[in-house]
Amino acid sequence: MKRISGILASALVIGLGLITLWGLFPGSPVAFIATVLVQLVVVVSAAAVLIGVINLLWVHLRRVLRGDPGWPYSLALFFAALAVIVIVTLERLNLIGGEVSLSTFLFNAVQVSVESALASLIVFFLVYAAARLFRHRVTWSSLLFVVTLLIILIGWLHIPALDFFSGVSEWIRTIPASAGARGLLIGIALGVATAGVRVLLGQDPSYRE
Amino acid sequence: MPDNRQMPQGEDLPDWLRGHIHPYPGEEPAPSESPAEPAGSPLSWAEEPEGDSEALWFADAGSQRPPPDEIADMGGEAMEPSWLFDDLDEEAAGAADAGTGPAEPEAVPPSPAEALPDWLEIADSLGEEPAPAAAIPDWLAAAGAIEADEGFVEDEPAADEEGFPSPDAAAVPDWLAAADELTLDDEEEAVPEEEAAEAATPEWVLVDTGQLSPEHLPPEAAAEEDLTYEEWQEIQAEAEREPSAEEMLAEEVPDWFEEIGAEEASEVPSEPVGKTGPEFVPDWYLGLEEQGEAAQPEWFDNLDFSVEALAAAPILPEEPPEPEPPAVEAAAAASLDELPDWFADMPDQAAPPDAGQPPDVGQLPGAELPDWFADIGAPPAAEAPAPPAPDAAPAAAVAEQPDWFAEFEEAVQSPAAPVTPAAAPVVGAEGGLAPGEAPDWLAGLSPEVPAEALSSDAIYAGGDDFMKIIDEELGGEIDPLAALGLSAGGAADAALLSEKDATFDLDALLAESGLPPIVEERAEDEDEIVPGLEGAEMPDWLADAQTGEPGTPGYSAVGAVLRRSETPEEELSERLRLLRKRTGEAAAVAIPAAAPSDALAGVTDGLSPTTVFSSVAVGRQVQAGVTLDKTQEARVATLSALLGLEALAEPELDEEGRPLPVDKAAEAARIKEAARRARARSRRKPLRLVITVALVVAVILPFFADFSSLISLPVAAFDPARNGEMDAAIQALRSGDRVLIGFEYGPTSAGEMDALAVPLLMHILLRGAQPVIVSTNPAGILHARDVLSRLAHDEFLLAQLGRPIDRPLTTPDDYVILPYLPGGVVGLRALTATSTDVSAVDRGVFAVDLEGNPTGLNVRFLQTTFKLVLTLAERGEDLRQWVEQVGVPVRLPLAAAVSVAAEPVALPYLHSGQLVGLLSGYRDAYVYNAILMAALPPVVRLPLAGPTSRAAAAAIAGPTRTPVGEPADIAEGPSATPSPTAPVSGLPDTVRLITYTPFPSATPTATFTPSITPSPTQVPTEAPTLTEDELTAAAEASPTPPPTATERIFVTATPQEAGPEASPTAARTVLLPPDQTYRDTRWYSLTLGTLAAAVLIGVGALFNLARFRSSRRRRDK
Repeated sequence: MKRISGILASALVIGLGLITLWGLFPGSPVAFIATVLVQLVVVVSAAAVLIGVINLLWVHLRRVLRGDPGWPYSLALFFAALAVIVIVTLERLNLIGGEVSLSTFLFNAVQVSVESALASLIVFFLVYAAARLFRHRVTWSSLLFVVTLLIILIGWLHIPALDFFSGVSEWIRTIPASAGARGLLIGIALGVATAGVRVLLGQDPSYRE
Repeated sequence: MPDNRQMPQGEDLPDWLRGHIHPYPGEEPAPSESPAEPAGSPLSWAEEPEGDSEALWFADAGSQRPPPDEIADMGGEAMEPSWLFDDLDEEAAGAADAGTGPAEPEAVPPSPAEALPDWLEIADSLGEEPAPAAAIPDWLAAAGAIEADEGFVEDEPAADEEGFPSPDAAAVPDWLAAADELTLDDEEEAVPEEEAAEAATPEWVLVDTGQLSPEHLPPEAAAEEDLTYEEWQEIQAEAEREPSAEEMLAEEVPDWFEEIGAEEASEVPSEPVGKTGPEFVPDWYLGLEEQGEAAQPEWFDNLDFSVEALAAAPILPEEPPEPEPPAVEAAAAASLDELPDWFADMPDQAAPPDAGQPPDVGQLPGAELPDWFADIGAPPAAEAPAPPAPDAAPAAAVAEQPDWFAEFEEAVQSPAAPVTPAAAPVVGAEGGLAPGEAPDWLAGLSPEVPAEALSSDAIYAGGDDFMKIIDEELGGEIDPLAALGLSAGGAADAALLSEKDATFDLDALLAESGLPPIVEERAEDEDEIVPGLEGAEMPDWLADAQTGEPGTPGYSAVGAVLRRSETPEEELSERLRLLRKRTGEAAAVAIPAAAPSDALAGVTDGLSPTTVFSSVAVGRQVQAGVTLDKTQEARVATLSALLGLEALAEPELDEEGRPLPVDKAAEAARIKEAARRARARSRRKPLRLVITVALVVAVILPFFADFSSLISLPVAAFDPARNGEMDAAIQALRSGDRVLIGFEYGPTSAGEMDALAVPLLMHILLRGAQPVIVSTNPAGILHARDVLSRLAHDEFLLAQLGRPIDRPLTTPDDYVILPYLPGGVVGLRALTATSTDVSAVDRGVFAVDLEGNPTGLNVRFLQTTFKLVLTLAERGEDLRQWVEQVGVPVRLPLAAAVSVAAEPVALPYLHSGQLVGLLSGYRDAYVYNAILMAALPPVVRLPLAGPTSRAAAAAIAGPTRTPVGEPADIAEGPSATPSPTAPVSGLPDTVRLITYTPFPSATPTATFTPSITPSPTQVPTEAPTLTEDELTAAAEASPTPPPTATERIFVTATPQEAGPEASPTAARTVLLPPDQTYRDTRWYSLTLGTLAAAVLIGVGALFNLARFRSSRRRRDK
């Protein structure tokens, strides 16, 4: 039974994949089907987001009910989520509101502030790590990394006395870094194409298991 | 006779047998087959397939044709499975019985053909009336027909009345006739020639040939047919000699050696000689060298067990080993355990109906036989004479036998086919087979054979390669049977093939060798019975492990192994004695005695409790014997420091140096203290503190101090190589155009990306275009709502747009924020589906906004709806998805604003033309914002409740102020009449914001030198107030640079202070571009923080480099 289901799944994936691929060609007669399939994926993704939110709330609610370690945090999460849902619902119903909506205020006061603060910590971490890079071991790669980092940083300053670094920094960003990025993009494209071909050929084991 | 001439085809046979398929008499060989070799060709069997010779040979037992060489090989040791050979014997016997079927129907019990497997139908078909064609496979019918084929063998001897050839002397083949010449002892020599020949012939051969009826078999042989297999086994077990204590080593004896022992056990007298074997004899050979010299074969006598002899020992002995007649029955019994399942399930195999014949084929469960054997198992009983003694190989030859051959011997010499002593083949020096009759592989064992031919690689190459190698070495001149000294008609071996010797047991062999027992009996424990277990039945596993007397059925190898541990030390070898002593010492050290208070106190032979950390501490003691270099010592110290082990005291040792049991309370206290110190060390990170403080100070300091003299602001210019035509793309928008904006960043990167998004959105709004925002990031869409909400209420923007502050931008009239777009890249693809497919159905992506309100957008094709696509992405991955899924299919101008981290990924798209413009990082944001704000004129705050003017009132701030291209319609109040030519937005088309300057310090090509001057005092809130006439005059007086196609106008953002001459009666407030001070300060902060980071990194790197170098010098010294 499992084997049959695997075969059916593979056949389904291959068939729909071919249809979708065919639908991308201009004037394809199956473009309508391909569009429907793509839009179905979007709908399923939206449903998955909703299910994920519900599952998250349920998981934390169970932790609270069972008294698992850290249950107060789960309780805070649960009530915070409920509160936001209620607030947004009331705003949609025009029961509450103002010049700046409460949900927007909460978002900026909590979400943006916390995430920005956490992101700002990265600079301290990176500088500390770079400063200690040679503490235990010095290699040519680490030396190259630190030198490049310093050139980029100093060149970004646009200090007239350090125009040389600005030129070198610009060259590094536009030539080596851009070349590496191009290679990365080409590699991504090839990888995506390979993955697609594998799926279409039924070589992807994820649909056979 | 049935017409059983159809034999299995080559494709039905295994590879090794296909080459042996020969056409049947009267049949033409296959066209593809080469002509048959002459009969005298010694290699004809190997070179030219002429038919299933061995099958025919066995079937035609009365023909007395000399067996092909391959049969002789099989008789000694062939490449085919032994069980196959055994069944062939059985089939031959069945065929023989078939000839006597009518007279002795009980010999082969008839059974319905449909109740038997195919291969079992052979017996019926051979011994009874021909089965219906439908019940007999074709190949079986063909096989049965061979018997009736009179023209098969031209020199076929005259058959007796039962259809079998008479064993007259003329018909006896050479290899069989040679039995007449065989003599083993004087008694046999005294036997008349005719009797000797008869005695040299196996009983079953005699039966097959009609010379001997089963009724004339010896009584003991005839009685065996009444025995069951178990009964026969018991008899064999009773006949075993008492095994010696060396049985424990039996498991190390290879299979071939077991057969050696079987041979010798069958012929060696039981009385040991008592000769002490040499010490260098390997363990597996221990005991054999002590057997009586009379019992050992001659080749064994030639062996020199001295060290010197071994050092110079040739591969082969000087003299050819004299093959001894093996006790094939013993070998078979010894290998009973290796029987295949189908064979073990044959209960009647041990009790053959006819002791002188092979077992009844019809009793074999053919359903479990391999298919290929089932095909082979139907040979016609028309050609093959009795097989030669298959196991007459000498011990040296048997040593080369593959495993399967042991099974073969077991099957052939199983009790089901006992051979009377008189009929056993004789192996002797004088009575050996003719040179052409010995198997080639046996000939290879002769001294003339180079040792290379017997290399393991050559021998175990298997298959034809093995035989070819031997043949090549022998040149095809030596017959294997002759080399063996084997004769099918030999009779001397028959004495060795008694039932008593049928079962080989190395234990018995070793016991008879007279070796002193190395395992002492635990006589004092034997009779002890655990209370409560009286009368209890011993489980099987315990019975297997019991240490019975050697030679008794209860004595097993497992028991011997168990007893070995109880062997007194004085009886052990020096090596084992030392090993036992060291083991005991190690156990005494590693497992301290449990304290009486322990839970396991009093429990012996168990895992003693120990303390983990004490064992870790013991590790230092262990490492005392290890040589560590400095690096390893440093690593050990580091690991110890990480684990806090330095806080642990050295373990207390007793007088013998063994660690004493650790006080758990003290141990826990030490561990706790070590953990506390480790935590304290982790808190002390001075470098981290210094870096944090330095960065914080560098970032905050510009907000409290003026760094304008130290840090210059960026040049207000874009580099087309890095920025493209971003400004031109936006500036090209007209009022009412729509811009699709991908808002692919969230609050995490809002600090950097908002600085880019705000001026771009403002510029778009100033152009009167409508941004339509979509995002695949749920947090991004919410953040976009926040950004747009701020812009919608921005006073300056509203003033530039000619709106009072109480008329903010609204959705969907001024901008649209679409709901979250799920699906990631697929969602983007779905977004453009309606644009790329004319038949696609609009599923309403643009139908409602984030709030669920109708957008009023009737988007069918993105190409006709939007004029520009702008992506605000914090990651290169987001930009890549937009370029691939939106930019390429829709082919709209695509611009991007990304973070600095995503710039390397975005630049290739810009250089390839897939992006029309690119902004990255705060620097570009600053430049764009500065230029945009400088291009916007100061505007007059409009009254809150008044009707909106169509255009914003522009205040001319100075002579260098870039004016609007068209005179602003500064209509005021409800009576103001808008000019039909006035622009709707506050940013006219004629104003070009951006100039091209070679990066970074090229000379501007425009009229005005860019100068973005920070002005801390540029935010007057209540001034200036101008009258309407003044504003109009100022607007008209403002210089308008002549626009050209290639010219870019530099703008200055130098706001002019409101002159004191301004009329205090003016009711409007001039608004300046917002956040200029913050923008500049932020630039200073960013620059200073970057500089601090670079300095910290550089200093840290230099410090660590110097430290690393100094430490390396110290280490080198």
